[in-house]
Formats: sequence, C-alpha cells, structure tokens
Amino acid sequence: MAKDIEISTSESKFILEALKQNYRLDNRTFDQFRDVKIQFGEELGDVLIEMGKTKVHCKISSSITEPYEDRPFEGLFFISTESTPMAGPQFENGNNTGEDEVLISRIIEKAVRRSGALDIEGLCIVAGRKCWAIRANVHFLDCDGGFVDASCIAVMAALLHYKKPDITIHGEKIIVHPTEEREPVPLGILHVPICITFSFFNPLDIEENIKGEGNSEIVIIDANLKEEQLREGVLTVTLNKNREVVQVSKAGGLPMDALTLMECCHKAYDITEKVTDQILEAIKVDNKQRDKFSAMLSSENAREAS
Amino acid sequence: MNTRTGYLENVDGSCLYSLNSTKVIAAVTGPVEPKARQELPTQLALEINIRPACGVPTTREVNIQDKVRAVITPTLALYKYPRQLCQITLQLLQAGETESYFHELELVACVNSTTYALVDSGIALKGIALGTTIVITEGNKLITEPTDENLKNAKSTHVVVYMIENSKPTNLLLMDSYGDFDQNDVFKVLEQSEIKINELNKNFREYMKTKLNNL
Amino acid sequence: MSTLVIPGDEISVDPERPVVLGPGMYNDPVSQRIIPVNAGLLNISDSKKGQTIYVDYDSKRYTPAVGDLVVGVITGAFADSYRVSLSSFSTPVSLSYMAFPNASKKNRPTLVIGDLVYARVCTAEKELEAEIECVDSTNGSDAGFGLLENGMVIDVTLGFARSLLFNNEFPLLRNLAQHCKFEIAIGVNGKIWIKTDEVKETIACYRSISDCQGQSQEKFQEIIKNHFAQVTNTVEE
Repeated sequence: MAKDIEISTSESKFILEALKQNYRLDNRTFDQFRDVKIQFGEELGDVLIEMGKTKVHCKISSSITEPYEDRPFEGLFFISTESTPMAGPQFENGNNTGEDEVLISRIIEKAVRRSGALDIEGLCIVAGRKCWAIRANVHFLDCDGGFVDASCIAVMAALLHYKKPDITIHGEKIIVHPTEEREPVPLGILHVPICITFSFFNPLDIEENIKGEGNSEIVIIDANLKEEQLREGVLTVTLNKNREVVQVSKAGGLPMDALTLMECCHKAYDITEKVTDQILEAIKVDNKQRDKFSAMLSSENAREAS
Repeated sequence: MNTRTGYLENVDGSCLYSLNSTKVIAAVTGPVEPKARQELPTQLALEINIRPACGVPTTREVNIQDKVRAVITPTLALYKYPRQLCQITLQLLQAGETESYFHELELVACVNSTTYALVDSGIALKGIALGTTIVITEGNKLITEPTDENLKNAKSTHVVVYMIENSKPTNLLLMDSYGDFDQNDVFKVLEQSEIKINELNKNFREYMKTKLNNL
Repeated sequence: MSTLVIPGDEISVDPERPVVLGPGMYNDPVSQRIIPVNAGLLNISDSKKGQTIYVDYDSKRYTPAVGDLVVGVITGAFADSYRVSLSSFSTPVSLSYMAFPNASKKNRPTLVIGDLVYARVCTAEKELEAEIECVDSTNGSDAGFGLLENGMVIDVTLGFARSLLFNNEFPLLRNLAQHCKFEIAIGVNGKIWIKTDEVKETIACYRSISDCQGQSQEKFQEIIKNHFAQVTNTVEE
C-alpha cells in the first residue's frame, strides 16, 4: 500500500469504546454478516458482488491451451486478484506486494483453487495436448473491508454462472461451437467454499495468556474498513455446505484459544449455509431468465403443466 | 447510453458508463499528494490506468491509455494544481467488441466515462471532452455508435473526440481512423460526429441538471 | 440568481468593473478568459467594490482556502511546527507552534500525533504548503480552536459540511439537539467532530449525520428519531 488512511486517536478510542458497549458503527451485531447483493452481467460468468459499500466484480474467461507437462490430464485454472487505486487511493497501481494484497490473493487462491472447487480434470480435452484454461479475473471496485469474503463469493458465483463453449473432437482436430450454435456447457464445480473473516480486538490492552481470567477480547464478523484498520488479530475460516473446513488462516495477531476457534467455525457454518443457498438461488433465477425458450421446449415443463 | 456518477465511495469522482454492450467504470482521485517521481513543479500530474475486463493489461491497454491521456490533458486546468496528482483508473467490465481486433468502442467509453467522473470529482476543467465512434460500411453508409458486428463488416472505423466549450464543440482532440477511406469520407465523418457530439453534450447537461436538482 | 454552468461555459461579466473570482471560477492564464471550471450553480453578486462570481458545487476532495474552518489530524511533529492532514492522501498542511494562544519559545503546545484539532486556514497559496492556525490572530484568544478531545469524526461531502456550518435554516443540528446534548465542530474539509456524554448518543448522532447526507430535509426528523430509538432499544435487551 502506498499510504494509509489517516485515523485519529479519538476515532480509534471511540470505536473501541463502542465495541466494548456492544455497538458497531454500521448498526450491525457482532455476529452479523453484511447482506450480500449478487448481480449478473450480460455475459456468462460476469458477477458483481456488493456487501455494504464493498464492491467486487468477477469475470470468467476461457481459452484453449496446452496443459503443464507434469499434469497432462488437468486443465489450467488461474485467479487474478490485482487491486487498483479504484478501490481506494490506499492501493497502488501495479504494486501488489503489500502485505494485505498478498494475503488476500493467497487466501482466495487456497480457498478456491487449492481446495479443488473447480474440477480441473474436466477441463482436459486431449491428454497432454489440449486443455481449457479458465481464468477468474477479480476486480476490486470499492473497498469497505471484507475483500476476502466478498471476492470468494464473487469467484464462486462467477464460476457457477459461467458456461464454456461446447466442443467436438475429431482426432487431433477440435471444433469449438459458438454459443449461438450449441448450448454452452457449465463448469464442473465440486463444492462451494465460502470465506468468513473474524476480527479480534483487545480493548483492555492487557496481554492475556491462554487461560486468562477476565477475557475481554471482542470478536466480530465481517469488519468494515475502519474496524479492519483497528483490529489486532484476524482469522479467516473457509467452509462449505458439507460442513468441511477448507482452510483456516490466521497470520499473527492476538493469540486465541482452541474453543474460540471452534466457536468461530460454528458461527461461520450458519453464514456459509445461508450464502451458498443465496448464490445457488440467484444462479437459478438468472438461468431461468436466460432460458425463457428452452423452458418452453423442455418436456419437464410439459409434465408440470399437465 | 447509460451513466451513473458517484457510483464508488472511496474515490473522489466515479462513473459507471455503458453503451450498447460496452461497460466501464471510471474512478478519479485528486488533487492528491504525488509520489516524488510523478511530481511536476508547475502543474498537475496525471496518472491514467486502464484495466481490461479479462487478463492483464497489455500494450493494447497502454495504447488506449495514451489516447485517453492525450484527450483528457487539454481539458484539465493543469496550472491550478502545481505539484499535485490526479489519479484516473478505468476498469472495463465488458468490452462489447472483439478485443483482438478492435479498441474503438472501449476508447470512446473510456473518454466519456472519464469526463463524467472528472466533473463528479470537482477537479477544475477548462472544458469537457466527449467522443463517439463512427464506421463506414461497404455500402458507404455511416453508422454512429456501432456494434461489434458493425465493426467487423466496416470498410473503415473512426473515433472522433471533441472538446466542448460553452456548449459547442470547439476543438478536435482526437481522430483515430483505421481502414480504407479518402478525404471525402473524413469530412463526412467529422460532420456526422459533430451532430452526435452535440447530442451527447445535451445529454451531459441534462444529466448534470437532474443531479443538481436532486440535491 | 443561480443557473447551471458546465466547465468552459461563457460567463457574461462587466469588463469595466473589478471582478472577484470565488471557488469554481478560473482565469485561464493563456486565453485570459474567465470560465467556470466546475459543474454547479453559478452565483453572481454585485457589490460596490465589484462583482463576485462563484460556482456552488459538491465534491469530496478538499483544497485549502484562506479563512476556512477545518478539522485536521496531527500526523507529524517538527522542530517548530506540526504536520496536519485535512483529508487522507492530500498534501498535508503545517501548523506552527506559534499559532496557538499564549505561544512563546518556552511555551510549546502539547499536541501529539493522532490528535484532532479545530483550526483556521491562514495561508493557502497553490504553490506553497498551506498553513493553519489555532488562534484568532486579531486578539490572540483561542476562539474555540485547538485540540478536540475524544468524541468521534464523521466524514461527509464538502457541500453537506458547508450547509451544516453556514446555512442557518438547515434543520439537522436543531433536530439532533431535541434528542441529546452535544458538542460539535464542523470543518469545511468534510470532517465533522461530535462529542456527547454517552457512547450510544454519539453512535446515534454518527449514524444520523451519515444517513441524512443526500436526503431531503423533510426526512431528517424521521431518520434521527429511528436512530435514537434503535440505540436505546438495544440497551434494554
């Protein structure tokens, strides 16, 4: 980051004092995840996620290329997360070496790519010769905290929404059918990981050991920008609807005990379930709108009518 | 054409702009403190960044960037802000054209959205820059605001950007033409684009008026 | 008289009489034309001395102008002055140790980095670093300037801050006063500092002021009422 937003002592003192008295500036409870707004663009795999004032856009693109030599049966999948001054002047252009930027892209990478959310074997066309390369382009538009959570939702919603052109293979020759000619095929999504970020505050400013008596630490979910600037510890857990913990990331900050971690995971699961359902529902609604005619033609529809 | 200014919270001025299938967001921050290497002793430094909808910026984006810079620089009151910086970031959401062959629609979208965002940011401007795309078809017909299909079938493509002062197009800031055309075609394009620019200017004033009335 | 102007529009001024250019107006050094440089409402007022022209427009980024009352954050301390930020990422301004009441070489102000101050802009040349002061230079009194202790800061647009500070008809503060006691300092740089006796009241004020931005004045009462009702309810739970 180039420069930081200047925050006065009065402001930080007040925000902490308010947290102590159970208030958050934006009128949420500590365990409340911001409402997620999902909007699909004109093209397939084009999603805009809004969480409060945070806005993240994700667009999927695909191309046919050669697979890696040591992985002939797998396709390629990239996630590009680069921040620009658009999200706020604190981000520098073309310089994503700041601690926060690196952490954001690492967490998303681990949550989505390395957890195998996308079936990359399904992207193979001719083993060792040709495969699909899928690229998720994440654009950070407006930053009010929670970039990790929002971009994870954006990437997953975009992947679920995207359909790649259908292909036919004739020996060495591959024919790519334009979308007007043949119905495009959706990607193989194996599970939907959702990231939930917890922020920790220690308003008493006393170092507490694991079995500390008067534990006054405060845990909040989905911090906004001001809260993110003041927090003393952060934990991101990634879960899916199958109650699997995909990732736990805690890079330094306040120490926490195992019970708190368990508690956080439980809280995160409820949100994960809600958000996953919301994404799937939004995809369903959007597909229906796009497929007005195919619904008319399908036999399933006819049975329903009778 | 659809525009919405003040779309983003953290920057000083912004505009979500869409025309047919092209969609772009412009963000403006300034005047702010520049980095030492950007600083100009007597005038405002300009940093423009364009990011494509898919993939990483290439020479193609730098090309658009340079053209946007050439067009925007004359409209700014540069000497009002010595040793300051204005940061312009453009994020394409949807190109609306075959990216490997064309950049016309994106260029115009970038110029127009930047103008709206600059006005939204309150940075001092001497005039406003508005542009349009025109293609000449094989049948010698002129089409303004073409689609990707029109571009593919065109004999020549032209991007025209005018500076508008006192509600009239006064200066031709950019004319970027490709393909097969002669002097006559250029005159026809200029004439046609002036009509279109006047229309765009009317829309712009109308937009600003409703925006002010809503305050 | 107010009409909409767009940057570059022609303004009719009487060339015989002196002209004073306010915000949003610019005399182009090359063409010597007097033009508006912002989109907004044009105001021309005639006085004995001459004509004053300015454009009323709303924006987020503050540029210092002499006489403005501002709320700033101390970001650095030097041998004889503080460095103060009036808005994040803008060029900082300086606050001399001598620009305080009863200041002398021996009697130094005790502000530390991170403190908030209420001050007045005393010099603002575009080529130079702007300066602010925490003293009324005509009589040496503090005039309400100086350190703002505790409280909370709300970031608003510049136009909204000006309405709050200069428009006596603006109902927001009066409406707020019906619900609680508060101390307030309004900076035209878009920073509003507010302090009340209780955290929940400050929270309600913070939310009310933020939400009233961009709303019509009739709705203020309702918004404020809701926010105050909300904070009192959560405590009872």
